[in-house]
Amino acid sequence: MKKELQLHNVSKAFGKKEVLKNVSLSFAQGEIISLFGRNGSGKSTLLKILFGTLKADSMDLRIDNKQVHPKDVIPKQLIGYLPQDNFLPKHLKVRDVIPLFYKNGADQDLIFRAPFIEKVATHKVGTLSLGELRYLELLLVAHLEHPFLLLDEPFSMIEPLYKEVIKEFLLSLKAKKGILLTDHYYRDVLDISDRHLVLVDGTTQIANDVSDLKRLGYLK
Amino acid sequence: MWTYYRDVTLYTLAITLLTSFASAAMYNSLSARLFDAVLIFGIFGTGLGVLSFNYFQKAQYYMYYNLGFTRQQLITRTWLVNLVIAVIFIGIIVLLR
Repeated sequence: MKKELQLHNVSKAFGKKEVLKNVSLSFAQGEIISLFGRNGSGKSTLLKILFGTLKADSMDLRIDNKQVHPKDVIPKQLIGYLPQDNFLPKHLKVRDVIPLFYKNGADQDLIFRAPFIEKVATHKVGTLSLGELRYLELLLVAHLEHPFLLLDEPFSMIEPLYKEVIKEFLLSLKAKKGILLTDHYYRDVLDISDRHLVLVDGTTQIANDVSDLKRLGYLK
Repeated sequence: MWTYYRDVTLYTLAITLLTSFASAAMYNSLSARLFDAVLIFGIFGTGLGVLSFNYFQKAQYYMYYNLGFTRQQLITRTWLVNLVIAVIFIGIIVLLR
């Protein structure tokens, strides 16, 4: 049975600035939803709140209608999260990072055999190009067992060849994960997502196409 | 988890060694100096090691979060391991005195 994540009434203010005002959204395994918004609109804040690394002023998180405490998201591995900033240890080689994520040889092979990875396996993480690093981080996080995945700018600084591989990979992941994706490369995001939301003035609005993104002030 | 422990403990060892060298003149015996160095390592050193990790490698926490470790778990386990190591070393120093 496919799991569904429901987030209700998320509010968050930094000082007097209300970044999120009663935001609600839901997505299920088998679905990719996109979240657009201008810089500073609260996209990353919302993802961090969902992941449990930032405390909301108010929120109600449910998975399959069962309430989930934000503190349980990480230890129970309910949601995976690809943050904006690179997070792998730069002094380690790619082949040494993979076993940190996967103990099982078959799981490790899945990463080693992914496109582009074999040729950089002996390189140190710190020497990878931004695109290679982003792609490696995505592979490592996305193959973990979390039923839901949050991706903060997975296409950022990615060269076109990698972008196509990432898009195919995310579409293949849909079968077992629910994915919430945010990125300014809106055409790539629109290509692979099933539903689109735009954060405007702290609230989510539904968008169906590029004209809606313009109407909602995300594009000119 | 081991990678986090190693990174934090390397900072902890560096801080312990620096403190020990800086305060060398205060001691008239090697065992007293070692004793205090081990105390610093076991009690305060890990906290300072964690602060150093937070300063230099903060983004790496997201690797551990994705693997199911909370920051509190990582810090507590690292501190406990270093505390046990410190207790063992203190026992050895006391026995050799």
